[in-house]
Amino acid sequence: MNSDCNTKEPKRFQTPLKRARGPGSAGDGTGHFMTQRATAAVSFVLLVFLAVVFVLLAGADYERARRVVGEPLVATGLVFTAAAFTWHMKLGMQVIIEDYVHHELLKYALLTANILFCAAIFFLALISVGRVTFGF
Amino acid sequence: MVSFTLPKNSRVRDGKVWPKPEGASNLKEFRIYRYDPDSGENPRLDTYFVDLDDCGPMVLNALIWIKDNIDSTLTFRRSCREGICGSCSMNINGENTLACIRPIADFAEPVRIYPLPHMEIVKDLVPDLTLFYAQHRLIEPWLKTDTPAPEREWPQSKEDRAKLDGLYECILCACCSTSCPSYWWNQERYLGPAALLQAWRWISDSRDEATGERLDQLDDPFRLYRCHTIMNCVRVCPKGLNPAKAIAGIKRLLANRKA
Repeated sequence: MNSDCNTKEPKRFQTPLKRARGPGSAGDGTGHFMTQRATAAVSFVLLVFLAVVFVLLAGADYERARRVVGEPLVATGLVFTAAAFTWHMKLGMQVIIEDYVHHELLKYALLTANILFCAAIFFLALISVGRVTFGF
Repeated sequence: MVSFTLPKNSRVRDGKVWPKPEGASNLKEFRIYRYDPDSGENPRLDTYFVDLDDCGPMVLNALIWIKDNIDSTLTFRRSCREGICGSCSMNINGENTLACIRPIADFAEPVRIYPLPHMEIVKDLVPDLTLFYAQHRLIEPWLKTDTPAPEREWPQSKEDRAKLDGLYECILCACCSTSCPSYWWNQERYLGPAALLQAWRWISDSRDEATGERLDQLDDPFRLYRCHTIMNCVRVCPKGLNPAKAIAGIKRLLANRKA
């Protein structure tokens, strides 16, 4: 018997129903699903807003860009856009990692990296908008 | 990690080319997956030539003809030969379907026949469906009530009965689940479209009193939410059912329960 057979052997003594039931339902998942759909819908609207801001900034120098981005509504909208995009990005990438990465340690490492990466992108956008708006 | 290449012992090799039947003029070439896990050999693709003038019109007829006339060791499941039992589900020219209700003429030559994808193989075209059946068992596909049973039947309006149309017809052939990439990658945790279609069938039943309990069982990132609306299940269902719509119904109900 080779080692591959050895690792599979314990499974043969589990009933199919035991395998199907596993550790049971997590009692969670709907929240993730609803947030993913909500951020997708909000992102779609904010994408239009972002396109309008880009058109307003076309060919503008830095001073004009500061005036446009510094408008409270525009600055708030840009921060919301960054939040919606990065939140949606985090949720989507989480699903992809869960789909394809089955090695436990690697999976948790990638899920953590995903959170840190998306948070970093958001804070980068936040600080950038803050810097243009307040000039610090 | 998901494996994007076949393990060495699963790589399909060229197999035997069986001689053409003598005196036949109307031949069609079939290449069929052969595998015997007990032999220790890799799977192979054997080539057979079927005399269409001596064979019925369906792919299952061709398989039976091969078994009767060329190679009696060819192994496959079949029973009703009319699309009711779901036994002869297999992958024909890349599409999961029932061999008994698909005409040979539908398929370009050579007709390539494989077992249902991404399942352990018992032999040749026979996949191990024990986990698939257990997943169906998990959703508890029977009427659950706490109210004492009435003396006669549980009454149901015509409108409520109509809600079960398009759900109860599932024959558990596994064409849908085994065509679903999410089921391929996470078979141990995702219930798959067939089981979820049946879950929705019982959730939709006006007589069933366990709706909340059933939804609790499904509220899980893997059991239900591995469905990414890929829709292969809808494309291949030989009974024309729509598991994706059923899954969307479960998700909607769970969201409404929460919001």
